[in-house]
Amino acid sequence: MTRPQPSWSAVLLRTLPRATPLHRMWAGTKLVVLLAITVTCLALPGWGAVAALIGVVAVAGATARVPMSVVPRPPIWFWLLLAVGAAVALLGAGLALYVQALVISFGVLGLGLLLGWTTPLDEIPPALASLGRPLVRVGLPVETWAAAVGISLRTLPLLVEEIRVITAVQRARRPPSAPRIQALRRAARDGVDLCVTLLAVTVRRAAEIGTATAARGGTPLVARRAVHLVGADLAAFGAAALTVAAAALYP
Amino acid sequence: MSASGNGSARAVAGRAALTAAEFGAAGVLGGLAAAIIAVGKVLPHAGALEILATIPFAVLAAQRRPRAVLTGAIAGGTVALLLAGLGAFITVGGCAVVGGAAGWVKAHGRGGWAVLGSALLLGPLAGLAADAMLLLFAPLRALAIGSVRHVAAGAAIALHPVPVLGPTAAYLRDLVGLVTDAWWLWIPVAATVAAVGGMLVTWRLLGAAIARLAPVHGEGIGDLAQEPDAPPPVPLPVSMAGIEVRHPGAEAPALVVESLAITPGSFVVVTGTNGSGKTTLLHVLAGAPVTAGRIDRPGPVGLGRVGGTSLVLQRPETQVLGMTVADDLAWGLPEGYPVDVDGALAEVGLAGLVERPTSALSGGQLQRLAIAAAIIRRPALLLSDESTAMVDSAGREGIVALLAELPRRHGITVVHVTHFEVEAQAADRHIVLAGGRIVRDGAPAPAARAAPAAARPEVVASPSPGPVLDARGLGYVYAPGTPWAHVALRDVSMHVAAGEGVRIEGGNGSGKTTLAWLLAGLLVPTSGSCTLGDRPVHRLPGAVSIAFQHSRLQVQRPTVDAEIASAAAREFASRDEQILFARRALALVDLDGDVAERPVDALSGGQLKRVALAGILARDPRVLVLDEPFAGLDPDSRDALVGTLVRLREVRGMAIVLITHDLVGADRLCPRVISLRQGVLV
Repeated sequence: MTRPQPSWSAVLLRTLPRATPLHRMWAGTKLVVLLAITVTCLALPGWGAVAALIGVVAVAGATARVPMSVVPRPPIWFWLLLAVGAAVALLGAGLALYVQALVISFGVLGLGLLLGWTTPLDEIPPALASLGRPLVRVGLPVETWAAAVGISLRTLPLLVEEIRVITAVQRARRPPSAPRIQALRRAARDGVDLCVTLLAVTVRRAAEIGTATAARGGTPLVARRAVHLVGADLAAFGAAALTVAAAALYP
Repeated sequence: MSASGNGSARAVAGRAALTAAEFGAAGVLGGLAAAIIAVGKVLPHAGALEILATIPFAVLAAQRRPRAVLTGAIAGGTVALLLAGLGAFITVGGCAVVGGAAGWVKAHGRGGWAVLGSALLLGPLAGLAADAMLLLFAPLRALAIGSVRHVAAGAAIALHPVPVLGPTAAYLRDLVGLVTDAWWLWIPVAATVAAVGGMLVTWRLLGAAIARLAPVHGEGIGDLAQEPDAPPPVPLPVSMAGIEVRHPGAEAPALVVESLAITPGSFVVVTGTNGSGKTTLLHVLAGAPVTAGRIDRPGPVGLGRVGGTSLVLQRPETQVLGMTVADDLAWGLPEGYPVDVDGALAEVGLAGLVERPTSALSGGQLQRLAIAAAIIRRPALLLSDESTAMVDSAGREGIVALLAELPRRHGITVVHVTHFEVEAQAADRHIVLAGGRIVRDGAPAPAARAAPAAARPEVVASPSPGPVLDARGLGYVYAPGTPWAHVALRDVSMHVAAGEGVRIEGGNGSGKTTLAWLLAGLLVPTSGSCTLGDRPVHRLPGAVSIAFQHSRLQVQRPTVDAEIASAAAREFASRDEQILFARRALALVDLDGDVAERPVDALSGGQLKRVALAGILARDPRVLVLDEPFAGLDPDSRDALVGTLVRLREVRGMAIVLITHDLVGADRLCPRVISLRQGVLV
């Protein structure tokens, strides 16, 4: 047996039990900074952006004291594929571009993971409501949207558990030995069954959540929470500004 | 009334705010789409799955107004952004557009041509939007086009010496060059091809999904239009005369009430079997419309409003809407409403749990939280819809005691609907329903201590030919090596012999569900071993059968006969043979053979449980693991199920491992009891 590996569902959107500046930061700051850095890296993908991104991820990861054990480890064939891609790019004289594209994809993904590891989920809907406040003036139901995000987040663990049970049932149903071609057909059918079963359960849950919402007096507005920006928030805005500057200066 | 149940959502005026049902559907289905996309992005080989994320939006659009689809897209997009980044956000947007269009076409009764037309419209639009983005972000364009060209050029060089592949690669390189030169043209073309393909896949799957979901129709409470400017609620006293409620498409009315009055200040318990109309009665009290008859109230029902009517529901995990206890109590309350959080929590026995995430609460605790959220609104009327059905017997008593005190303590009138006759003991008034009619109404009858079936001790005479299932030093750790590592089970040794019944007992978090998964070979133990014969059970998929608590996850094929054949891992040459096989299996669980041809989504909860079990039994397992098989069953169904299982254990020598915290009938089925506390045998 290989060494135990956490499954993706075990590490995504789970808060690390720590008290670091990143944990104290307002969820809205993290969302804005994440979006700003992502857009910068897409708009100006150069060495400046790459360097700034690596720096931000490294500093934030160290500040949040993220242990290596929670970082998802892709399987070996994934790395092989990357290596083949690099070799081909090298032959085509495009290794620099290849590395830039790769680092930016991983860096942006890393920022997202950091947000998940340092932000309790219940802080996200109020932060969205606060960030979307200007849109309320235009007449958009931002607070209802934020509440819907809350429902999505609230039902996510139920979905994960349901996928676990459905696939377990399918594993137990597989005949002890089957020809390969049948196994393939079965895999395709299992995939569709998984989705339809999940959908059947989810549609029922949607009706139940609807009833529960009515029982609380109808479609709600998410209560904004008071926002207290701390030093860490300013540092995060600084990091975003630095990334923009680096990307613009060294495109 | 020929429209299906969800059609009523369309009755809501076009520009009105989202109804509760639309809101729930948007949040839940948007979350499903986000989860599908995230799985596709995180697991590279599952990328093709992402196309399936159009289906939730298509179902949403087929049943609800466009603004619900928009809300779902925003909710799903945000969650996808958190899970897997900006790319996932954009993918959710695309899926919402494609799925929304397909669903809209379906809802308006148009056919394949409309689908194709909308794809031909949306594809180029999306392509032009992408063009505009790339024009704006020139460096990104250079990066994207550059990397594709370099890879093509590199491949051509690498493959040059190879006979056939070499020229092909060179040809491809030139083709890539041509395409990337005219990127502004090819992106809309590619987007159109993708839109047409995606739309066709969505359309096919949507047909299958809608066919399966047709029998699922909501109870309609969430579809009621909201009344923000209504006068203050005065739901009581309420009196009904000549009421009839008929669900769309049903032959018989669900409820017929000649006359009924509920006056303030009492604890009323309503009992009856599944399908007796008790939930329908409750919904009428909550303001659901009736087909015929007259209801008199002094003022509006005020569902969920302060001083109005509160509703506590059956399923713990779908009626608690906030992510922390404090969040949930405040959920939906008007701004500035004084909330005595600590007082409310203390009253329901949850003192000190304010900051606790709701996902960490047990079923009983969630139900108490729901009651706290109800009484914090100081309702005149509190309706409890089988709120004790999913809770263990100890938790049940606590909840009934809590409900019984509310009339005296706060002057809240309580109407509690339940399967369990015992719960009427504390009531001021006991209403019994059967077949949609009131058959008894008055003071509760004195406790008739019906000696349970356990009174006749069964002889456990089955021969024990050594252990079938043998666990030695079994241990399991979730998320090992991370800060979330959690030891669920530690050094458990046990054995189960043929024909033996073992019940595993323990509270929440005792590790009994993990043990069930290990015994069934669905998890690989992190320490120790579990063997069947002399092979590890996780290498023998299906040898040990397991029936999960949530039968809807277990029953995965569209019809009962297909389900039973699939669960038994059998293939049949014709449907007739399959139906015959299913009928024999259904007989084992005392279900009528005619059920065999029905769609699974049309079955009641009790029937579904038995169908799931019939499929498992048709495989003739040596060991059967049952996880909470009685949750949500009424006493009659439960007795029948216990009888069936006892027979199978004694006659066929099937070993049964039972996990339940419900003791009624359990001793008869499983005389031996094993106790787990925090992952350790005691």
